[in-house]
Amino acid sequence: MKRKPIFQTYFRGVDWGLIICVLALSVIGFLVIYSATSHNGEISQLWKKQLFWFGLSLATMWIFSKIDYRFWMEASYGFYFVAIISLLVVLFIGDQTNGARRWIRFGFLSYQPSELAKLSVLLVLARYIGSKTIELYYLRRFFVLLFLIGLPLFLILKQPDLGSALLLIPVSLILMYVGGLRVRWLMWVILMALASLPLIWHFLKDYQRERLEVFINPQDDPLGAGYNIIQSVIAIGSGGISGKGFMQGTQTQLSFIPEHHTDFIFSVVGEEWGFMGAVVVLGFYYFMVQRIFDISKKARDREGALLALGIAGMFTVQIIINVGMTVGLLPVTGLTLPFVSYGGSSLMFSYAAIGILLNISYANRRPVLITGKG
Amino acid sequence: MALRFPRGIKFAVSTEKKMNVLFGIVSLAFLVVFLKLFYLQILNYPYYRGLSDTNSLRLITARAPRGIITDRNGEILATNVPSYSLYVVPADLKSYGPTMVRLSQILDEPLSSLELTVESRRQRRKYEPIRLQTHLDENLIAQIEENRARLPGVYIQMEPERYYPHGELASHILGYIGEISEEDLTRLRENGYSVGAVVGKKGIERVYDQVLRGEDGGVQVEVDASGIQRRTLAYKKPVQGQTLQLSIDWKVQELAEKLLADQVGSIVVTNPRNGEILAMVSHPNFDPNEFVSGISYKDWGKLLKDKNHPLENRAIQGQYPPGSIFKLITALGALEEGVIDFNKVFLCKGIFWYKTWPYRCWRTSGHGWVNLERAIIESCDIFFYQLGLLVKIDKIHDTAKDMGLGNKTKVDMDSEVAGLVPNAQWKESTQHVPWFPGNTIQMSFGQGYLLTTPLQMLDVTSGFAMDGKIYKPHLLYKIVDQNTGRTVFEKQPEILRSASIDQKYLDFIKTTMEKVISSDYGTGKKARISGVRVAGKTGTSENPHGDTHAWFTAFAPAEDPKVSVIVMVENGGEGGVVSAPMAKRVMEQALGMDVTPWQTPTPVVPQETPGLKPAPVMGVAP
Repeated sequence: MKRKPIFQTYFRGVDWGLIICVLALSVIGFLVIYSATSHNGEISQLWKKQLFWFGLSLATMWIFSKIDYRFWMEASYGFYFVAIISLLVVLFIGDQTNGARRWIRFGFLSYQPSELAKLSVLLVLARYIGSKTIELYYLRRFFVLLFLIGLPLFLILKQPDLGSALLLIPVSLILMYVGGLRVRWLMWVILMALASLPLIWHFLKDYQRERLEVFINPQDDPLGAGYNIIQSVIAIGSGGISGKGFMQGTQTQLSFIPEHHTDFIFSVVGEEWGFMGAVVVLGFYYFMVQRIFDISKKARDREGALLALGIAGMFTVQIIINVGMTVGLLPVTGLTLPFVSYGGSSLMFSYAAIGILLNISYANRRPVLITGKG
Repeated sequence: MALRFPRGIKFAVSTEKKMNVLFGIVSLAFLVVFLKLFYLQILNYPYYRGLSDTNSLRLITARAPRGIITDRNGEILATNVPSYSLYVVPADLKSYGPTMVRLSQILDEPLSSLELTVESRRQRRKYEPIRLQTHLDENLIAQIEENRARLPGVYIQMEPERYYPHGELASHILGYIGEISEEDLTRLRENGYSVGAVVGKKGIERVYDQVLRGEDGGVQVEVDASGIQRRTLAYKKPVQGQTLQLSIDWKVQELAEKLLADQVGSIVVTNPRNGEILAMVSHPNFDPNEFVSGISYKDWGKLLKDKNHPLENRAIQGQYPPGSIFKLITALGALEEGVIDFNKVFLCKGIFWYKTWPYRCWRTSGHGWVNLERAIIESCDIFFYQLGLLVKIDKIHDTAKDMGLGNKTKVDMDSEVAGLVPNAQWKESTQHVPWFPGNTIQMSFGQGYLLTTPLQMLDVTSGFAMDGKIYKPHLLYKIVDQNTGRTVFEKQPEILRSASIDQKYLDFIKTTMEKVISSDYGTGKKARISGVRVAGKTGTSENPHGDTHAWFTAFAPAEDPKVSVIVMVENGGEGGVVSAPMAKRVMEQALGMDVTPWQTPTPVVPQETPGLKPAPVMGVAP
């Protein structure tokens, strides 16, 4: 047999499509951050910071791709426990901003427990649902699942961090649906949740109610959240087919859009690169999600499949909610655009997820040497 | 397929289908976003392009009126009056030169100074309005309105302006406001403060800024290509801040201000039962109205350079040796330590030799044989020199700390200082010199390195009045919602510290404090109120800057304390002569009695001038 070159052996089974997608999105991210944070010829140094984080993220992706994903499955309950503890801790000693407690500060580093919570719920669900098949038809299994999701969800809502909760709910539903729980039960839960909406409204903080109200009628609050949406829609609309050109966006350059390098970065894409640019970015996202679905379908076991699916769900929800917000389809929630928005830890988190996906796809193409659970 | 269930189970096949359903939903979501983009960027491109090209949306903030501040009975201490300001949006100054010339004529301001303000902002943040002038009068407003079409980019905005009807009175409590500083901005940005915001800089205005500030509103207007305002797109009503009721009793405050008049010093009155501050006076004071629309450099410089530091709130920022009031603490320490009993006597011959150093009593002829009670009533210094040497510094230090000295009182004010209670360790580490017995002698009657604020000494008095319980002093009484008139927050009394003191000693100190006032030999005779048992202590503290500071503290009624007071007059002379009469009147007012008419104080106690001053600082002090 002809020996394959080392390069080919080493990179065998790597999902190049997925990697190209996220790298392309990151590069677009740099360009947009560079443009969005520079004003009147003053070049901001923020993109360099992002470049530094990008390097770290690539390393993280590589390391995670080398870690057998079953390790995450084995460790899932441990992560879950730590996440719950830190969610409890943040409620008491967290830093308060805008009436919400979300961050724990260690000296100059700060850590947001809801980030870990999202990941650990994903792991625990993949583990719990993935390691069971027919037992899932017991109603009590369903209640255990609801408890596993509900506990962190309640603590996150208590902070309150509406964005993270908004991410967690659909991802949990997706995993339960595909994992094989009775669709009837899921329907009941959704119906009950909808029925209790007025109650939830009662518990929302003022600023969150305001955001929802503003979403329904942006003219209500031309200074706050409504202003952001109006300006973002104007920016995107004025981009036209081909956009105003790199660093030419007037809305962006004149700081009409606040947070235009984080939450509202898609408005910069829309304004400066136009319809074509926006569609290209959307296309990369769409292809990326398609790749992850494919990895999930071909995964070697149920746990891997569900883990991949959960990650796909998380990215998708984040992308749709963020882009939907900037084009005026959805309310302002404070979720960033993965791979493109400025922000070190979120970039690293995203690349770590890609690393896990690469490992799942790699394991899938490798001959199975060990059978049964490890 | 990995997700497939074990063979033979019929529902297993649907898994792949489910994933396809999901991917279908995902595709649909992407499609919706795509269609919305198509709608915005292709179909409605001309409309949005138009909006963006003219940048025709302007946002003019409408400042929220700050919450009103009142005393406990509703007397208004800070409110708002309407004022008209002139704004320009630099980007809309289409015909820049002519507009500026016209503006300068109307405002009667030199063109150069207007240009100086606007020029820097013609490039950066040029869509943000700049405030050019405040306090426009009707005449000016009419002129600008007439020329509206020839003044593109010029806006007039009605703004609430802070007004303090009592001027300088209670200025240290209220503090003042001003435009947010760079440093405050970084600290407060997360709480929704932005550039140009007006915030409390000092006092209550600063401490309760979040309650008082309310929520800014604004108008969003569309302007046409020439910068002329066309229509209002949206308006958000500003929300006034909440009303703050202070625990201050304005009648007491006003009287205390009047009594202190132009002397330098401080008077604080509290209710020892709950820590409510009824009056807090510090003189000299300032007029917070001067700060409202930005204080001029000249006036600011004058305030800063004044050698009497009018901006300093002496009640919490002034640090002084407390003089003989401190003898109460030395006495308490001695009793607790058991070094003397009530009958122990020391001989006062007017001068006391410690080794080769002479220490004098304020009464040069001496008090003869005195016991502890008489030593407090007549404020004998030599008794306490000898007592101090017996108690030793550590116990005096600990007792003082127990009563709250050397620590902030945690009053709801900014920039409070902690004072200083020295001990041997402190002296060695800061001065690299050992603690000498002479230091203990000085400390025993409240001199030397010891530094306290008037509010701290008042806490000590209140602590004695309440049998060791010291309540956290506070100025906040209630927060009332401006719109509904409902009380949203009521300050509850909070115990700051409870010193565990033997009831026997407490009773002794309280009855002795009463005798300071009631005894014919007492140094605090001038604070007697007919029909009320008053307990107090005088203090006259030496300092290197001239005359002695006149201290007096008291609480009344002694059997059921309702008010405690401290008076400190810098370089005022003797506590019993200068401060006690003020405290008397303030207490009368606080207890709801008729206030004795004011007479210029005359010395009751024969004043003794110490002759030769020996090297270590010596005692004075009734």
